[in-house]
Amino acid sequence: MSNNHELDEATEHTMSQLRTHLDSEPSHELKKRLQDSRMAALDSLDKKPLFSVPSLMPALGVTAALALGVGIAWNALQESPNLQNYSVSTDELEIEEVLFLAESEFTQEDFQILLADDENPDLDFFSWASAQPEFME
Amino acid sequence: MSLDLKKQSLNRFLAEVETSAFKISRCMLRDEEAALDVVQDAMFKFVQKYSDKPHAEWKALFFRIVQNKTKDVLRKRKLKNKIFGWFGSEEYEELLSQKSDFGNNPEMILSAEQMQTELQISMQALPNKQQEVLHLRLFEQMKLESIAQTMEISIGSVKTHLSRAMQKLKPLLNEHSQETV
Repeated sequence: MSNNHELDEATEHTMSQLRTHLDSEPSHELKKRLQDSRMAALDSLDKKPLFSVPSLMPALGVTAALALGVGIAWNALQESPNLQNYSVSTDELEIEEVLFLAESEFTQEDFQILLADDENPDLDFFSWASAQPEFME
Repeated sequence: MSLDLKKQSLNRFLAEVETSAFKISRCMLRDEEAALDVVQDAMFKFVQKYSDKPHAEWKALFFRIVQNKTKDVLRKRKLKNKIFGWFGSEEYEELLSQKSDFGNNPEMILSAEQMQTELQISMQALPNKQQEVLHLRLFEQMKLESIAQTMEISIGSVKTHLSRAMQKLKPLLNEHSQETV
């Protein structure tokens, strides 16, 4: 019997079959390009700014930015402490998308299509936004 | 830690994870160029914003960034298809028709490439959480605890998601193995 941290044998077997079909190694050229990307990312560490304009504007809230809908607010929001803490969660992208759409004057139907997924097929923008603490501040 | 030591440490870490990150994104997007862009963006974001975090958290953080950026591309595609629907979804429609052709011709032996496409489409039809858990296990061969940490869910949920995903994909795999015997 499997312990709590292992998968059952049948699941592992199916996983192994799946890996056979899908887990192909990228070509040498692609690996080289990945390596180049890595080097470029590491080089960016030397150019990391000590501070940025957005860091001087931490008080700017999401609601205000939605109302303003201007580029500087967009940048500030992405760097704000609230979103910093939020920035690697799944919802970060949804916030970015919503901000993008708010600026783009899309309809609620567009929001719905964008935000809906298999687990929340009926999710609409307003109920989603109202559940986000950042939108309520 | 000096900048040089930090860069060395980051270099080792990113070299370890870049290929599996690429495979995960490629599987979700079915587009090598887009997957390369995602991994590059993720590396920049990780280096710029999260490299000061404890090393023990790096893997979970990096794969979360990769998954989020990949989902971002998928969302943008979805929206583009909605706006430019009359031509944007042509490729997807073509793949869907291939899928139905396979179903209508059970004696047809699928090539490895077709099988790969078929599996990728089936995987994309899985709920998001199942896909994410599956990719981390499949390509990064992450332990269940690490997946749970990356996804911020319990180990029990990881097992449930994996098990459900496998149940859905198993018939397709079995069908293929019978056809190729």
